[in-house]
Amino acid sequence: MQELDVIIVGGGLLGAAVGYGLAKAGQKVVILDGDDTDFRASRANFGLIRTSGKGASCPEYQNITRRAADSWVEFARELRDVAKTDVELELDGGLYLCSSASNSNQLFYNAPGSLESRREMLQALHLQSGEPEPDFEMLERQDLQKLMPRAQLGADISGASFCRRDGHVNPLKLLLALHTGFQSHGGTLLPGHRVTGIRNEAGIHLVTSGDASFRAPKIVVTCGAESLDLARQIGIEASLVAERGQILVTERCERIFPYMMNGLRQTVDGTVMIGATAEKVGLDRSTNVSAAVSLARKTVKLFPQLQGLKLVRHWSGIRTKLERGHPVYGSSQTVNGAWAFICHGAVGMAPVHATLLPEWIISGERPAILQPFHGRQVAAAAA
Amino acid sequence: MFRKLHDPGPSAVTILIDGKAVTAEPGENLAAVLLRQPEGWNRTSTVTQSPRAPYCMMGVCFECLAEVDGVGSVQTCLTTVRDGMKVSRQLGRRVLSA
Repeated sequence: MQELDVIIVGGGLLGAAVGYGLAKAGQKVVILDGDDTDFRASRANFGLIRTSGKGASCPEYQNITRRAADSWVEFARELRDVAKTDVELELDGGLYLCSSASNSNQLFYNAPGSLESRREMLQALHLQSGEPEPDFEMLERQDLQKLMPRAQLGADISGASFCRRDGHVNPLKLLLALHTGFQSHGGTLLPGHRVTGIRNEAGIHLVTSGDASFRAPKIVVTCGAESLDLARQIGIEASLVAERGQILVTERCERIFPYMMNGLRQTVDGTVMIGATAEKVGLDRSTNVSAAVSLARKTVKLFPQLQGLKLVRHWSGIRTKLERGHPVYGSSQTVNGAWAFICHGAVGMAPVHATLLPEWIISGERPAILQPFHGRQVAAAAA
Repeated sequence: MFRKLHDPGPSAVTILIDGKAVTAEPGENLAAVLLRQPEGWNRTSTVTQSPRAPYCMMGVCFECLAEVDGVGSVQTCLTTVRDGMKVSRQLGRRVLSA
């Protein structure tokens, strides 16, 4: 193998975006990706670009998620040109349904709460952002109904917030586009290459995967829920909350949902995606019927006309959620040329991951906007 | 393409397929009835609108879908005919609006 500039460990949405940006800049990069038996959060993704509600008590996170969303149209165009893949971007705005029923069920992720509490929270975030105009408006039930005339709102829906900068995309096509773009810019993608060891010898990282070994002056760890061990080996510490999300997927039907919502979106070809649970079960990616029943029941309550739709898929993923609530974009202080990037929401953040992170890796200078995202520093584990 | 071998005689039932009256045998499989119509197909696919016909005849391939008595995406290979049953070929995506 020719001389490498960067080794990326983990080829999911985060690693692939970084690799894409590096390869585009002319760097010689190899991505070592795992197997289908790994957690593969990027393949269990719901596909949302959601800035609404994010960044409480972390204005910098609010800032970068908004910046990423605002770069998405341009990014999708670039992926279409370079990777010849249409990622099915719809960026017309996003809804967050609110309910008049009391929500005592802790099972669901982003469950509808009251209209008033949603408004209060978004207003506080708007003030934190310092933007001159709010990027959201609150919709009462009748206005929400007008926004989706073909859908029949269930009785409990009291309204929704509408955020103009949000939307959704096909996450599997996004991953494909990033992989394709990476390779067309000269990057080497090696699936089935789970990394078993990282060693540092005189400034060069020696990375082993079974019998194969790779050497480069720079290494980036982006393997989602399994990043912690490898990150520790390069002196970066983080804490994850292992949270499982189960999703249901329906047969294709006529398009009745024009905007993405919390826990419900309809794709370009008519598939309805139903999400999601939020279960603290450790690193357990199994699915169960009781979750499917709960998800189906809550969906039919929200939109009774979905009652007879056939379900065709049921899957789960482990959310790569940081305990502190915002991403780790860390560079090692003890080992040269070593980074670990861990985040939840790598779909929305893709345009930033494909630009700012590669710039940082190439120059060695942490971008000012990423200042608050370093991980906890620890001594690198002994070789 | 398919032709029924057994004539049900006076016990025959009548179903409607896209408004056309079709004779069937009590207990006959609905997908089999659809297959022995001159058209042969029961739906068009949701993405490319290509005509599809029943395939596995055992409920696992989902090609045999049709609208039966107002309900869409019914697996006709798991359905037995009933006198007066109304069947419509399903064109493209399932319709949801009332």
